[in-house]
Amino acid sequence: MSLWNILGYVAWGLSAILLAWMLVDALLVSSQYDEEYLMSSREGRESPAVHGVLPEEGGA
Amino acid sequence: MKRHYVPPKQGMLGQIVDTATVLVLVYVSLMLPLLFKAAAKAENAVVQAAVAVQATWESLGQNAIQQEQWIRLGYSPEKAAMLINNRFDYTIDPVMLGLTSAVIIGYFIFLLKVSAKQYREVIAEKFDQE
Amino acid sequence: MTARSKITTTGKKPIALLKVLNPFHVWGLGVGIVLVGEFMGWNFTVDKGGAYASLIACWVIGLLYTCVAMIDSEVSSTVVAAGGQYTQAKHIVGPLMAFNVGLYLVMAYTMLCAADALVVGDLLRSGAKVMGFAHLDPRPFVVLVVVFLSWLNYRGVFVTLTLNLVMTLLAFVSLLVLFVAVEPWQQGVVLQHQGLLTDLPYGWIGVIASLQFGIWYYLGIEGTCQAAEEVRSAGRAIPLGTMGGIMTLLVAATITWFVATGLLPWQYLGQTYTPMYDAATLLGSAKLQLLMFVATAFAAIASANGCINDASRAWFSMGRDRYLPEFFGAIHPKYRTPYRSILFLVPIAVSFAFTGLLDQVITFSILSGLLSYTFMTFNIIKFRRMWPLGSIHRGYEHPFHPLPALTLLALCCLTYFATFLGYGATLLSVMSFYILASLWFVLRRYPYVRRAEQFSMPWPRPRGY
Repeated sequence: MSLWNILGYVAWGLSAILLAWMLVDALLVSSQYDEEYLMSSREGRESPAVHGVLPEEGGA
Repeated sequence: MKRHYVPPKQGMLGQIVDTATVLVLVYVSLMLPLLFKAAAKAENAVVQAAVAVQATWESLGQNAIQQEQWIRLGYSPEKAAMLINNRFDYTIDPVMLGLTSAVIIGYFIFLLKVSAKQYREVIAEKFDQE
Repeated sequence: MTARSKITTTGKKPIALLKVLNPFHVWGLGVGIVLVGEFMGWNFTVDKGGAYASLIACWVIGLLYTCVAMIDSEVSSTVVAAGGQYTQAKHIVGPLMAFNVGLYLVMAYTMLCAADALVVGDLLRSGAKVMGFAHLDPRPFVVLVVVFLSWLNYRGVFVTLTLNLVMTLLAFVSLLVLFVAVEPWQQGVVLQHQGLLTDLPYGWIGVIASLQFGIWYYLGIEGTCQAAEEVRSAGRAIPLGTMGGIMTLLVAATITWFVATGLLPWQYLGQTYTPMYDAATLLGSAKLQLLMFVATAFAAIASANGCINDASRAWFSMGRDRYLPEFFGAIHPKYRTPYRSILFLVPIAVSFAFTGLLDQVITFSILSGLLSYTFMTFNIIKFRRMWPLGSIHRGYEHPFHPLPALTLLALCCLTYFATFLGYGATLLSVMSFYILASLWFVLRRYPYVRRAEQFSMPWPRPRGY
């Protein structure tokens, strides 16, 4: 049992924690927000400036 | 004028099935070349083993500077021979070349043809209504 | 499912990705994905055709990518969307092409990400070996790299790409340090080009064959336009970041070639997995060795990071248009990232890394890139024909049209031939994947796609339609 072995286990553990964090968060989001809202983003629905209709100044 | 196309809504099960389909396709095409490869690899190993015996820097065609760098990298002539004698075979099989180019060109023609048809539909629906 | 307690769209603005990035982030994203190629991977060109072939490949493929960057800057400074080339294809060529382009992006980046994570794992293993621990299992570290970077990506784009920028800069500076350390102003002291450079061992066919891995010098620079929905001023930042990126890479690639071929015999260089680290080892300086070790790790991590960012944007965009299941089109309400796509691609990247088919995975990645460059040639020709200059506002107009497009097409054909020479079977199986996927899209997926909504740019009707 050396330092490197321990580091290996730490890496497994950290990966598991981070993955679990993301999964739990994703599930929480699904339970708190309506699907319609989460998927309401539309391509090209921001300021018309960025899409070449108006000369752009400062973006958003 | 054509009516506005209303797509059906896909249920969760259908979405899962479709995602899985893409994944299966990817893995199959990753594994497929292995079938061809296994045979070629076995052949290669035999050739290499035969060449590796009794190598010297001279027989490997290495000049003084090259020898020095090999030695500093920790290589003996026998060990270096494995790398030096590992050569590619660039003979071209005309049938395979023809087949491969036909596949690539055919693929792009298919893409462009079908896309153009779908695209006209999109443009018609988008601009004819306004 | 009780929808009444949930937060809904009513009275709220639709959700969108966060606009926080500047041109430096774009540069970091583009160069960051690629730079790992200068630390490992480019040297397989040397194996294919010798040291001079590698230099020719470096510049010929450099020309290919200059064309790519010019064309891409023009189109993506006008088509501002997270899908990048996918969205371009949708607006200019058509849905089936777009689906394929989207898949090229996802496959190229996810597989590259897997390869990057493997590099980090390998590096740690050799590091452990030097420190006296011979049999380190690299797998937990490979997984950790992918999961940690995905977690960063999940939590927000600003921190993710700022980190990318810093790591990329450090890796680039370390290449410059190595360049100075070999005393490039005098030959025969450290550098031994006169003794190490040989004639072309395979003749010119070897030069062509080396073009396949020449892609490795630059693969991924076109990913800059995936950031289009998240930069503050896309029309300016994307061309600036992309063109700056390609210039950086041309310099970095040439330096890399110069240093490595001046130190290592070509047969060794062509087959090692850590050329820059080996070069530093030969210099006999422990500090430089450590620097190269860290820089290689940084470059690989930055690359994996950029790949996760780009692949998830492409997957998300396809989900949003229902080219793929719409489930993936969601945006995180707090972090404003395409969180489901990011999460979904984690196990896929890990599984690619664990197949043990590194060269297969890399070839798949290179070919997917190549297919998307081929697409760019007809994309730009159609774009200029359907919306001539002046009919819509372009953030950037590339010069000498159609010369870059035709050059690009010719170079793509040459590179297909190179891939045929080295990986004919893989080439065919990759093509069959895209053909089957296309059929599946036409027959099964396209019915779910809304028609007019796909065309989201506020442009006039294209000429000729």
